[in-house]
Amino acid sequence: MPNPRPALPLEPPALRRTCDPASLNFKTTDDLEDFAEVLGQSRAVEAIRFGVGMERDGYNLYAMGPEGIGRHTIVRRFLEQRAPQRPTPQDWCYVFNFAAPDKPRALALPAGSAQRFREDLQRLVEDLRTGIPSAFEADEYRTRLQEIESEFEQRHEQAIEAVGEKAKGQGIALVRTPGGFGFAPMHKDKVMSPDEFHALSEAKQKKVQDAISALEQDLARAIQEVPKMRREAQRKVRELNRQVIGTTVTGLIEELKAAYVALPPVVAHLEEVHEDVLDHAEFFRQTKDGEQKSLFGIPVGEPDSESALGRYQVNVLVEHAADSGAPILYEDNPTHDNLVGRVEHVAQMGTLVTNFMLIKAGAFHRANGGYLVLDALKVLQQPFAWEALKRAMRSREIRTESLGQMLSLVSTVGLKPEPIAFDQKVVLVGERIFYYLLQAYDPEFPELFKVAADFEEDIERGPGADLVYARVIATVARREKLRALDRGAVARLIEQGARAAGDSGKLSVVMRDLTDLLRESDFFANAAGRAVVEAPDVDRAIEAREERQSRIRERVQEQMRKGTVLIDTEGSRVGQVNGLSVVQLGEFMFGMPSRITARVRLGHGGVVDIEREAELGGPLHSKGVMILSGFLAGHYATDRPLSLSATLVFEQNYGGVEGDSASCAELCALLSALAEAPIRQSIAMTGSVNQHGDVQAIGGVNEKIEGFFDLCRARGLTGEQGVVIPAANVRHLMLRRDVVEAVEAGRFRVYPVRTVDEALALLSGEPAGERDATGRFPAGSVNARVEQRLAAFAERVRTFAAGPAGKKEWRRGRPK
Amino acid sequence: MRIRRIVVGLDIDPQSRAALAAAAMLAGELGAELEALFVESDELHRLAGMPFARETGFTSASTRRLDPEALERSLQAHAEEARRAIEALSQSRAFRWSLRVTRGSMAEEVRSAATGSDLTVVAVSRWGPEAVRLARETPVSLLVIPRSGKAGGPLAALCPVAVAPEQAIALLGSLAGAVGDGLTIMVVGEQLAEAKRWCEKATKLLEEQGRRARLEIVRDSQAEALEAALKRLAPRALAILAPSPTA
Repeated sequence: MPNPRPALPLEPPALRRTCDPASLNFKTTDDLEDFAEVLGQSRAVEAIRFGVGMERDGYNLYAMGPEGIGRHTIVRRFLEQRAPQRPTPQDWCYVFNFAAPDKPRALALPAGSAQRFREDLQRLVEDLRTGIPSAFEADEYRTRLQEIESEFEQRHEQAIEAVGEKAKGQGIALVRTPGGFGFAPMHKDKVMSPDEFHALSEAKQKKVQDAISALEQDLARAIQEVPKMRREAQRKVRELNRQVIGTTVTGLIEELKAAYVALPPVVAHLEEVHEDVLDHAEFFRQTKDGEQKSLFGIPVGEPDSESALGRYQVNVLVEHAADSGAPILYEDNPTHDNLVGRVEHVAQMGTLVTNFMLIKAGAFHRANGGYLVLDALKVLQQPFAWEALKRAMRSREIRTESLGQMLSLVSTVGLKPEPIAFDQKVVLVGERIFYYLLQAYDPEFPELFKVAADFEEDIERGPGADLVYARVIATVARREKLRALDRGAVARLIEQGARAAGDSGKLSVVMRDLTDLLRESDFFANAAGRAVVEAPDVDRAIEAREERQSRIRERVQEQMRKGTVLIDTEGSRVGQVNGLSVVQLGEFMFGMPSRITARVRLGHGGVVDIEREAELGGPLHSKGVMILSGFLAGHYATDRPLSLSATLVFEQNYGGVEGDSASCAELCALLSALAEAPIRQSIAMTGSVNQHGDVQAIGGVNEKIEGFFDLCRARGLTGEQGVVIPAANVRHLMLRRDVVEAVEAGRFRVYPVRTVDEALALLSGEPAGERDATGRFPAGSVNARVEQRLAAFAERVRTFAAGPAGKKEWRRGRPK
Repeated sequence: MRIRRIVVGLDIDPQSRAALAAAAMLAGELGAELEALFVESDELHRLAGMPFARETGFTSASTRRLDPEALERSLQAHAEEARRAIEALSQSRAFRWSLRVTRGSMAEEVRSAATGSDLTVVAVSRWGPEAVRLARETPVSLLVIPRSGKAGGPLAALCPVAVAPEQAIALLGSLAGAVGDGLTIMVVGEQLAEAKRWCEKATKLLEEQGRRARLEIVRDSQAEALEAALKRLAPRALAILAPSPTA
């Protein structure tokens, strides 16, 4: 069977699918209409439409795709279309809970009316502050209060006086002492002197003392009655206060109740306010304006809400303008507290105190009744934010609880605001990896986020796609208020779109990159004094971006040029191939050649991957190398043991290597070493290989070719240099214009190959050789030499393992 | 009528502080000298001297031994407290003052000290015989601060027709400016016509001075009637006017 013809180099048009400006039927982007649809995201758009429209629990959205694809913009656009059609959610307030002050009560009011309710309560308090003191100043009140107080004092005094009168009847006086009262015997209406007392007979003295003891008990009983009398008087005063202010308070509150009659919870609260005001009339008579409270002479600052009247205030947590539709909220900083809200504290005399007016709304409150958009990564990064989100979604309640309380880290008395119903659709925007990780590891996730909107990164560059892309460019330019672009500039951007997609048959829809490039092109057009962005401006922007990021690339190439890193670009050498790899530095990717060498010897070890042994190779790379053993055994040694020990190494690789894109080059190096066939160093190779010797597609083909091209150009293009790539990667070629120009000039070549034999033929410059009808490779071909070498190895091994004779033979020369 | 010297009677009763505060305010307002009299009750000393002397606490209702030495110390402490209070008041209100500690009964000590003063201020625990006795026995005008006197209450004045309306209005004008909100004058006169004439004259004088007062005629100045009137008025203080020795 004749050897296949060696692979031919690709023609320039295959290296870069250009966009002909003449094919674009406009002069500048100003001639194009806006592109109102979403480019290439029909799957994601349908998912969003479904997720947004589905009014069932758990149908929340996860919008996934890489950064810069426009997920937020697209999601927001759909939410903005939907939100006005939905009812405006209620306003929410927190009010004082008179039954349980540490559990503020949540009140819902129709949209737009919370503020009015707050003002109504404020006005009520103001009215009470004037109305109640007026009622207290009325003569009727003063008289009745005086009656109660006088009655108390009278009863008190009468109780004491009764004892005094009783004492007087027994000739004993009630005498006031510094700490109370004492009893002393009298003589002629005056207290007896001690001498007079001593002059009494013992019997009389004893009688007096007994009488005094009895009186003391009477007095003690009278005094013990005082607290009871005081309580009674206080009860009467309270009742009087209620009666006196009742008319004023009832009138004002009934008026308010009538205004809120349609809202039973509000009416119930007003009734509680009514009762509380009646019970605490003194609040409205306390500290006069301008008088500051003090403790030990130190002024005590007191927030308004902390004062006694603060309990009648209304904390408007969230309010909406009437008929404004459902809210859409994007929380940029989704910390636990920013989501669930928080209860703030104020320092007062060295301690932290709080009250219901210090409850602050979180994103859940503000987005309630509408849509909450969150970045998945940010939520996952914030401690306990993900748990808080899930808890709220699961329980359908918003509980404002601080982390300190939740984890029992803080022992101060806090508030437990009444939970508010959680009614909102949550849209998480994140990368795919987080979606799949959450699916795998969080059992609640699939229940809570049932709809995934998977965003595409590129679109097919089919017929008409270039023009659609041009309209997208025009839309972005107008939105960003940039100069219009002429056809040439648009053509360059389309080509760059294909390059960014890594496929000449696709266009990248990563809007952030496109927008950035448009802005940067506009910058250079401005610098050049052009009214319209032209192709050179786009080229300059692309080059400038590369220049800004290419410090490492240039340093690597400099080391190759100076021979610090050994890469040959001419001559031939056995067991040595120029492989190609890519280096990813953030968003910048560049290719560079790597010297791959192979050494072979007799043994049982198969192919040893030195990178793996040195723990510099990743699993994919190791897999690629292991496949080589399979290929060798299947291709050359099906009927005998593979008695080979080979070592493969990426020379001067100190930073690790991953991926199997060099496996074909490694195989070529190995076969070169086995066949002792020199490999042309002017050609670099990329591509992975399977056990059958088929060359498979790899990633980063453009960067790899350009990496080798840049080195060759720096040393001088000879026309012999080129790169061997998998044929499957030809559709991905969107090479730089300078590479294409070098190919056009016959100074550089790109060869597509399908099999390792084709690659070997190109690299060695001689046919690899295919088995003929008898199953033999052509004599002298590379494959034949490989087979012979492996057969020789196997034979040597067999000889060594033949038996004692053989063994003795082998040991004969050894000293005894 | 100018008030140059005010005597205030103080004792261990907490109500004394109210009398002192009112007297100090008047002294400051009127530029008068304040003579404070701390009266140690003679009866109390006698009681303490008894072998069985005990006192029953105001609030605790417990009975404990009343030791003469402890009583002495307690009275000294009360007098010292009064001295400090007067000193503090004099600094804020700027008046001259003196304090004297005496032993006896409040009525007698105040009566003897009142001679030569223009006004005497005392506190009483309630309206009743005590106030009436003080009024009867004090030779000069007396300002009584009752325990039940509340801030915001008016100044009530008990004014016999024997006191010249000019003298009464001049003195009450000064007192009403310093004590109480509003002034109610109870004119005591057995002859209604005489009392009415007094009232007419007083009304005219008040109008001339731009002052306002409520005038009531009281036929009986006995304790019960007085108590009823005062209960109705709930005054901040009661001024009991006496004819001026120089009038």
